[in-house]
Amino acid sequence: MIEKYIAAMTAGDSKALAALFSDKCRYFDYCPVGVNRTNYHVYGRACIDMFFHNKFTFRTLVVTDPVIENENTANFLVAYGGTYLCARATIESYDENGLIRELTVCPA
Amino acid sequence: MGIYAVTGGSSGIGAKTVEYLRAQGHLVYNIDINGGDITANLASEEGRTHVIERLHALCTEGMDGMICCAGVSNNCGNLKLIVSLNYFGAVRLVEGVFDLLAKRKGACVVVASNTISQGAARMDVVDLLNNQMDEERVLRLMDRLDVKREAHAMYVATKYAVARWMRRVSAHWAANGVRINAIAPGNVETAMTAKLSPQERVAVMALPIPTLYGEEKLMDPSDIASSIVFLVSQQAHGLNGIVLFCDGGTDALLNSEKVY
Repeated sequence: MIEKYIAAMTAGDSKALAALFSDKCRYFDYCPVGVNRTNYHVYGRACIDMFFHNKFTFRTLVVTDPVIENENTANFLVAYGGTYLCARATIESYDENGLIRELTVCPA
Repeated sequence: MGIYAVTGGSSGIGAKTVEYLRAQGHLVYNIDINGGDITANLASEEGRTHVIERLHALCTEGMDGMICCAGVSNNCGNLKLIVSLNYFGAVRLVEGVFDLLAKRKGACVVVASNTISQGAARMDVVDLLNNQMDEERVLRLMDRLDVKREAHAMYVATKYAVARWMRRVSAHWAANGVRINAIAPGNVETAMTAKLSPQERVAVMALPIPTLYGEEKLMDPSDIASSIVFLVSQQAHGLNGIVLFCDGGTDALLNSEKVY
């Protein structure tokens, strides 16, 4: 699942990304504050689709150079509005269908 | 029966607002450059003066509402027009009819945009607009800017400035009997958005509208007009100085952490 997450993020594919998450999922990204932006708190699969469609289209979120650490964790370079930092994504929990219930992204 | 004036009432949000108010039995003056009850170019000082004089002649007992919908998007490719119509075309006109609104304890709605929360405004220009109120000087500045690069930032700046001006005057106005609020629409299907290029359409659709999720649609002008009619109604008498985001939830989607 973490590989599919990284594939969707690097491809900038919001539909593929949303398909990995459960209907009532939570996605927390605590990195943007580090580049003077507001952190991301995204609730629900449809919101993931819409929110990341916006970010990917305007290229205000670009993920590159990923490294898979284990089945639930990966680190990568991420640019928020053109400013890069290194981040680590962790799948915190799954639902009964194997979809991501909660994922967090923190500075690595 | 109330007496209302609506700028930009010949098309889009303005036309729907005129329609809804008239359906409620109100007397409505449409102020528009194209076929209004009062025909005027609000981008010019002469046009605004003409409208203010006509409204004073027509509404000797005062007005219940002034609604400013007239405006242009960045796609017009004319920075001066964006400044003169979107900002001064609203602010100068509303200031000019304040006495008419005060006579009947009326209300005013100015149209901003939900783009004001997306961080794209040229805040230096917003400050010039709000703090100096010197149209000629700002227009001279526009001569020195690159239209293609600055059009969107300037559009957002004018809408931000309208909203901030409204906030600044709202307390004093309310204390004198006139409520004033702003509405911040999302992307609406209008004559302006119908002319978008495919590339521009992609950008517009990248500002998703949660209430229309899964549909390749923009908001309908009626969505905005019904909220405007509410804001000028007695049912909204407790609302003053607010910026009402009427965008199907786009602002909440992109700025969920901003509560105030």
